[in-house]
Amino acid sequence: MKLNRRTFLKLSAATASMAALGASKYRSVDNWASANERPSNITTAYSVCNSCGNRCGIMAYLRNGRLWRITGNPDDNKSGGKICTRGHGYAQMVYDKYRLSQPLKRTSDGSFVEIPWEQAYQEIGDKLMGVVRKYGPQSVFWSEYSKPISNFYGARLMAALGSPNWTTHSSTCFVGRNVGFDYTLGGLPSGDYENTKYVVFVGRSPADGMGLNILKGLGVAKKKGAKVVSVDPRLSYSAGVLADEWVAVKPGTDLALLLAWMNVLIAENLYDKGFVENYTVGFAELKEMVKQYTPEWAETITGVKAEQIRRIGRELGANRPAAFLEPGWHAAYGSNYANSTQTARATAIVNGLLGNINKPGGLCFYNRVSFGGLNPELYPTPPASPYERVDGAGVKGKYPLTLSTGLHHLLPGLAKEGKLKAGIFYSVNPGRTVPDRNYVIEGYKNLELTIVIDWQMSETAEQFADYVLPESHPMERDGIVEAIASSRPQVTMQAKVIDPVHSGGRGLDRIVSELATAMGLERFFNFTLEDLNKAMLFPLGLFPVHLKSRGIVDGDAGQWHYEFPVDGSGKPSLRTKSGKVEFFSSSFAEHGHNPLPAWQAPKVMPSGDKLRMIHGHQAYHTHAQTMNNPYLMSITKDYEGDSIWLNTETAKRLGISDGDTVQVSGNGWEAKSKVKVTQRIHPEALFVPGGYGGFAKSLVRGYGIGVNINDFLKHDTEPISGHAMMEEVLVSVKRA
Amino acid sequence: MSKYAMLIDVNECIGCYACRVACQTTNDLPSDISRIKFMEKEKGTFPETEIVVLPTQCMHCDEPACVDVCPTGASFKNEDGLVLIDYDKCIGCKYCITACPYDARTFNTSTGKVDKCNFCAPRVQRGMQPACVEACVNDARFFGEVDDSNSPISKLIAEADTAKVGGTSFYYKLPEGWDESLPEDAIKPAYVKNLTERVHPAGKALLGLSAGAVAASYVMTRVNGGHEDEE
Amino acid sequence: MNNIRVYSLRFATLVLLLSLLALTWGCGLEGSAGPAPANPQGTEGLVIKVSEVDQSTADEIVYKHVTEYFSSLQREGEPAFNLVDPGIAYENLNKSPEQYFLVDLRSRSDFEVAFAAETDLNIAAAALAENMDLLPKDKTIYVGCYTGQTAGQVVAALRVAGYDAYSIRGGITNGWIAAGLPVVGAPANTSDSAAGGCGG
Repeated sequence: MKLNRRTFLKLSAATASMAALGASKYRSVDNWASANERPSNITTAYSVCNSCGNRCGIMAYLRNGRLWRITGNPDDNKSGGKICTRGHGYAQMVYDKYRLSQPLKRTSDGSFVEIPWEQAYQEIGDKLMGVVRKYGPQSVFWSEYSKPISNFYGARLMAALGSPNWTTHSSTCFVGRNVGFDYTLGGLPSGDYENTKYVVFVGRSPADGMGLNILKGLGVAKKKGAKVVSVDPRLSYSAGVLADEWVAVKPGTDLALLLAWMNVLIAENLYDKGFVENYTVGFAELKEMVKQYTPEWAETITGVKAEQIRRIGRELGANRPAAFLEPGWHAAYGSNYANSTQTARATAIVNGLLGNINKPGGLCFYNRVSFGGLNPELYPTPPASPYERVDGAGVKGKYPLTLSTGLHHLLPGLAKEGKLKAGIFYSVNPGRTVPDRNYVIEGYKNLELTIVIDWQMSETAEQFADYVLPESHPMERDGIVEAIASSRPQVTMQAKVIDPVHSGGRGLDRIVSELATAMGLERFFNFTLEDLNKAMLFPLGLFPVHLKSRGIVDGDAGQWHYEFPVDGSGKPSLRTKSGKVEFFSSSFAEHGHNPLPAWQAPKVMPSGDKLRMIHGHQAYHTHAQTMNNPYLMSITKDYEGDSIWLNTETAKRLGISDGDTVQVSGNGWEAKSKVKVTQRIHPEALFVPGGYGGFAKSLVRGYGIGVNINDFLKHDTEPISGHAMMEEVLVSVKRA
Repeated sequence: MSKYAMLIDVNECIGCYACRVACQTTNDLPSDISRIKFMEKEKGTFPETEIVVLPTQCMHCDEPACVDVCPTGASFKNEDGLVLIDYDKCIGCKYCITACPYDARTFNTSTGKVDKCNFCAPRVQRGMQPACVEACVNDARFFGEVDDSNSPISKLIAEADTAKVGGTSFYYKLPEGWDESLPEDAIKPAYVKNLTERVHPAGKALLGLSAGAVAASYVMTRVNGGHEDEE
Repeated sequence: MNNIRVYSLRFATLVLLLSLLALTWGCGLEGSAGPAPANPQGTEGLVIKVSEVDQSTADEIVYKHVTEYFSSLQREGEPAFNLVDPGIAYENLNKSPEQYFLVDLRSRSDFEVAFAAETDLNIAAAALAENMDLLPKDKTIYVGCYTGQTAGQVVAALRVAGYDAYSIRGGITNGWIAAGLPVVGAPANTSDSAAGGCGG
């Protein structure tokens, strides 16, 4: 190659005496590097990472047209110019030999055969329409791991068929948090990390579950002296590295800790009186209720010393309004405990007492751009389904308060009852990621038609799919434009980076449109993805080419101000019933739930040698999705990342040593695992890293590695937000 | 005596392995071979537990043992203080792997040669940061010229809580109370000393002998090598 | 109009010069030839190359391409003056959207009243200098305005810069719309789709 002779390293004359120097022709970095570089034409392209739900902006580097490496897009407020372990590994899967490349059909002997796309569409279309005619459209469902492309195409396909059952993974992830925050603050705010003085993470670990913008913001805030507290039964990397203080709470008792903080803030007059008076409802009832919840009381429940609880409560009060409890994700109140929805409410309420809504260093409801949509005169919108959701989400008498994304962990049971007959699974793997393996597999096997759309195999595809349709890898296709909410709102889109490696795979937009056409529903899909993106961008004065050329574009969504949201007449306008922060929720009362988050114990409590099994993210895996990723799985292998964790004292009592193989049993399930004995975990807990325990034979790198909490759980549902209660399980452990 | 140095702020390392995978992809390494290793340490009793994660890689020693033992002169230290491998000369004998005091060298099964961190010399040549520094999600890694007292890394090194790994180009900033976790100074294993201080200057006869052994090893490598990555 | 971050004029000039160089030197340039996204590896090398070109060489290159442009105005089997019939443009844009790129130079307000659904970019001619990175090197570019006059000038500059550009005969208003080819008005504004992934 022709070499670029200008070097940014001003090479000084050799000063050192180095014996080996004379031995080589490569005297400087410059000529060694030049000699060791491949001739290459390096180009770049922007896109969005698909390795988890955060969807960070990336820049892909191609060498001679082949994807080489990725970095974060420095313009992206979400990634802050960085990309995590999972993103680096996920991008490389585009070349993986285990990717799906042809539609598969299950034969009578249970194995799969490849079939052409046309045959797949024809057969699936006929069978799906057959189900709709025989059992009604409400017997069909769509299940996905929430992504912008399927939020649109999946929901539209269900509407076109007349089905109300478009479903995401929310009930095994974040539904408790969202419902709790929705009925208290009217939505989910973002932390103003860079300007905060004090932040408490309740359960969430941004260093393991990865919040790149959080890491960046905390870095800025900590340099200015901000304090970070982590509430977690486990010394996660957030608690151990990012945080200044670890609150080692007994798992499932976070609510008691939050109630004690309310008690301290009110009893010691540390709350924001002006804010409470103007912008909240139900303070009197709350005050009366939390009188009993002293730090001393909370110590008996949480195991955290009363003085530590009181001190943190006072520190929160002293630093308000630039202090906040981070809104969390899955762990303490996403979908784990019987008390999770009320714990989420309590977290939101503490923030209300701190008066930090839309304050510098507090919790902010940032602007996001408003997209346009397809012109219904040219592109008819399918009518909304006249049927009630089969899973009861939003249905009176069932789960009226929960999200419209549905309760996907209920679907196998509904299939067994005969209420569901056909389902499409997009990029989601309930076979592994939903509690109670047998309930899931046995339930879904009752479906007359099961279609899986994904770019790799999964437990779901292997166990109960009739057809598997290969999606192209995200690096090979465009996505739908996305809005990034921030004090500087942005717009971005997943864009095709390389030509498809396999000619067989297709984008979801194409798969859904072509399948709809095979069913005679083409009138609802008479547009391309490009048409849709253009229509969405239209009001912003943007075109897809802007996003493809620049990756991230600032979007005009009005000036952001640190002000409590008010309507035109100056009245508070949070998206709650009252427009204010609702300490007392009349909506909860109306549907028979406690309008105040009074203490409620988890469903099961550890005693004796029965430990609570808990789970969590590792920074290098996304659920079960990355279990066949060679880069990420080799980290697991090198560092025994699949080991379960046991407290040192507990292990000593049970005669278990670090590195032993142990047998874990609970709820009728038994499994063997290597154990890490550590002081980093609560003595009553047993930690299982998330996503392992693969049993899909075709995911060869993850097959049989580690154990999974879902196997130890029994199907269950919490009554308010309808989540799956994924840590209400006790297990015993002994040396194998 | 090195021109370039790397500093890892252990207070900020969250043990996420992003640097490892970014290094692998940037340097075209097989997915199961890493130039960066991670040591995790904990101390204290629940709930007063503390942890650190200490990433290590080639420390670019001032007097590298790997260079001394290399029978073909493939491993060398250049003018900029970087310890590099001339891949045309490397015969994959792995002698250097055993000599390295930091376990920083691995055998790359896809090339049949020894592999290690080169501070991303091709990137440094272009004025860019090494891939691990660029990729670090929590800004725990720093790289730069140490003979420029105004460079960011020089300023960090000047801070009181930064410790140098003696005889190398590597610095760590350690949390309070974790001084003992600093990797030991670069000390050559005894057999390396023998080789360089006595045997080497004495004559070439022995070198010939070791070259014979090396040739045999080369043949073995060829026989065993060349298999694909994966399981 | 919007807050698109724009690159400096210097960069745009650089891109233009690079395009000229790329044409002259073929594939001799390392790194990416033509309009490059921000920060590609190897960009630094290109910067040096440009600075190394002396004035007389640059004059020569420009002269060569301007001459080539004039000779392109009458080519065997090609439409004269790089004009394209609106009907053919419509057909090509629909048949092979991956090969053709439609730029509409009219004002935003006129654009919103009626525009071709195939439009890839609506931009003022004067704003092109700072937005050359939005034009694909690997596609045929159709340019339309009100009558064809502005587009003709733009096409001339684009062709000198190495783009495969054509002006729509009569422009969008007097060509495309007058020919009765399909157009759409401002679409209705609907709310965006439900969000919520799972990362943490």
